[in-house]
Amino acid sequence: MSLPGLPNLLALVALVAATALAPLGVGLLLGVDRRVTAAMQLRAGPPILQPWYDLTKLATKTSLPVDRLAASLLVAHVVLAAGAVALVLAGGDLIAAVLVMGAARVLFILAAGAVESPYAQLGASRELILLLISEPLLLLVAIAYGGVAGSFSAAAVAAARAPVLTLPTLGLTLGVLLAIALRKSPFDLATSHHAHQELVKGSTTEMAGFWLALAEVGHWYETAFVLVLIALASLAVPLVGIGLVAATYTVAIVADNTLPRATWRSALWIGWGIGGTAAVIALVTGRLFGAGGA
Amino acid sequence: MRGPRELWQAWVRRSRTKSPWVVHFDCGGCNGCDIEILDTLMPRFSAERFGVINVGDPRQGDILLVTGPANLRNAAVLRSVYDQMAEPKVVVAVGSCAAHGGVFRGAPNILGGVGELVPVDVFVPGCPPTPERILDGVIAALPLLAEPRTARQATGGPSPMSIVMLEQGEEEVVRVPAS
Repeated sequence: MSLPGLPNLLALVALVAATALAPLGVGLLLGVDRRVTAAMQLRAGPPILQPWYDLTKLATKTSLPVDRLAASLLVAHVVLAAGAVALVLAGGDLIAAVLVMGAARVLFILAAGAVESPYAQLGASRELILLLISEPLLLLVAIAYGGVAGSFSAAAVAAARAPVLTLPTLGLTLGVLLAIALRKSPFDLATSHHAHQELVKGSTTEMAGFWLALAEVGHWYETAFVLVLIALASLAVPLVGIGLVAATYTVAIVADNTLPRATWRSALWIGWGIGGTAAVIALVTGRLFGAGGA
Repeated sequence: MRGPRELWQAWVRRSRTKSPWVVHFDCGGCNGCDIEILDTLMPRFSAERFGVINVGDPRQGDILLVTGPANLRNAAVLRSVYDQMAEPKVVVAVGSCAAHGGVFRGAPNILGGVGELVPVDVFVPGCPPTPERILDGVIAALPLLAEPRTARQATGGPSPMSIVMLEQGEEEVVRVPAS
């Protein structure tokens, strides 16, 4: 969001701080998520700070040999993912932010595929399917926001009040996108910490120590990106925005627990069928009743 | 008053002991211990509450859970899995075979316990040990993860001694003869 009253330098510092803290916030949210998921499965679950423990441990492991190409691609992936989040937080162009995030994810897929492990390459090609499902949806959401606000700038979208008709359908699409960003379902594509997936950490097979921590930070930026997109829907009324994020997240957790055997085919159908239709409805209603309408 | 450096080091030590990712390697016993290990990871015993994750890549693991006797056939593989793990790391030998060869001891291809090949930090006895005891063994190994092995040896920490889990919740530190 833009900070009109402040001097530029202060705004820049705030932007850098917000971008740096975004993944830490997501880590905390994932810790709560693991507790809620464990409660649903009648388990106690790890401490809420578990994702931070994991990240610190990985980052402070003694160094391991790493594929140089994969390492450079990983660094570029994190920089671009952070850039995409910063672009939205700065009130920049949503379409550009979506494309930057898409590029970041392509870099991660290249990093996963750059090594010789067949599991990593299999994981990389499956990440590509996830990208295929989510990227068109992300673009549709950005265009729907553009219709609501009459502008693609995140600042304008944050200031605009989305029509009541648009919110639920937009929330549905963003819920699908969040489920994909969290990497929990479908089980034959996921790269989460859950045991119910088919390929245990496929795309990160060859990453370890500091480099796995870096991949984790990139993943947290990707999740932060979707969460910020959800919050944008009703930043004009902050409480509704927080409620919308919480509701969408809850739906994503429940869906993951209810569909532990969802495959990539069903993900494609649910993603493009339900998510895509909802996005188109949001696009049309937003265009008709939003600020961008005639 | 602790400075930021001490606070960071305390946080790192805490993180290392709270995030034990296990690598499970079967040297070739009867698979009884392996089934008990899988039981331990299931929701009933809920190892995840200690931050335990079962990983397939030794480079991502912190605790090496070994079952079965050390033998000629896969001695190099066990050594390779151990070498691929990054410090700080610990080895937990699960079951009688991993401790001393068990019923296979004396067979021509058996070298003995896995301690012949890798430095074992915790022995969990039993044939097979119960999931509770395996979990106890893993928890006994957690404090060792705070520092790399070399740092532990320099400060006179638990290594090169090993912990043997006797009864439920009880443990005994014994000195293992240097190989």
